[in-house]
Amino acid sequence: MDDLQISKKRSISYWFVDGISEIGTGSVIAFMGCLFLLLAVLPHGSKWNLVIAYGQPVFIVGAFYLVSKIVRAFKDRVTFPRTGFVSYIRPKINKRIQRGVMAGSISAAVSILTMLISGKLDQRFVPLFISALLAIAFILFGFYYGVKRFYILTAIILLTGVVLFILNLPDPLDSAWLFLSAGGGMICSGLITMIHYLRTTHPAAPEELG
Amino acid sequence: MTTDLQASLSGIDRLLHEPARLMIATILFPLEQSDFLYLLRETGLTKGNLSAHLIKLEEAGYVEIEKVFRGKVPMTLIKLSPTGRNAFTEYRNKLKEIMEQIALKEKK
Repeated sequence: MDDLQISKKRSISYWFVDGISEIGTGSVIAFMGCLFLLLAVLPHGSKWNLVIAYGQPVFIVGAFYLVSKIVRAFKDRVTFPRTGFVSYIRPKINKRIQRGVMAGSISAAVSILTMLISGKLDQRFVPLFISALLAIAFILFGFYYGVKRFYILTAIILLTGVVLFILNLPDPLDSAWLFLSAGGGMICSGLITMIHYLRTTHPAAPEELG
Repeated sequence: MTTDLQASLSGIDRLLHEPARLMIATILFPLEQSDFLYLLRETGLTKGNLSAHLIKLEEAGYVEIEKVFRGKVPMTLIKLSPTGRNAFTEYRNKLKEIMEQIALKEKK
């Protein structure tokens, strides 16, 4: 990796220096787990069960939107006054469309693959399969963002998948626990990072602001 | 020293060739912009030293500096200008060229 790629990775990894992004993303993933848990607990076919089942995508998008606002507000009030402000180059509009199309295609492919495999596989293999997919995603994030603790989260997710495979819980309880564990792991990782960050940094003195 | 290597070395951008300014350009290159505090922490330079280098880069048109307010708090935003980005890219290419010429010379 050349010097510029090292610098770019360092700049990108700065977004994760305070742990708030992980806490935010972990909260959304844990929220997804809570939705699955509610689906497991609420009587099948009941009004609320249907609302949650069909409203899941809307709830999740709403949660991501809310979390992005909270993350930004935290960075504005806590992170940037301590260790400085950065903004990242936004790719040109056609590149953003390209990325959106690619992300959408990959999501669709993963959904189709999951449906095909879970249709053929015994239910107990499904959390193992999903945890493997999540683990791959975390490895890629860890590599691209240069954040090593994502590799620890990978191990936690894989371990959770194995445990759920052994426990052989009914659907959607297995998915609920998988997402709750993944989300919980990210929240813990984010909190540890945040505590470390707050202890080792301080709000900048006025003369440091330039 | 070969004349090719001499020509390459003499053509190097001396403004960017200074270690502190090179560090500033390297940090800014992947970003849209950063503030003074971020550069101060990342470079490890003193406030005066960083300011002096930024002024030189600004005078050459390599960076754009903007003083804004975030609420009541002043903030100095810095970004590489298009000229600065081109100069940095050319500098990197020049360095690669020099290293290749040295490697070629060593093989002979």
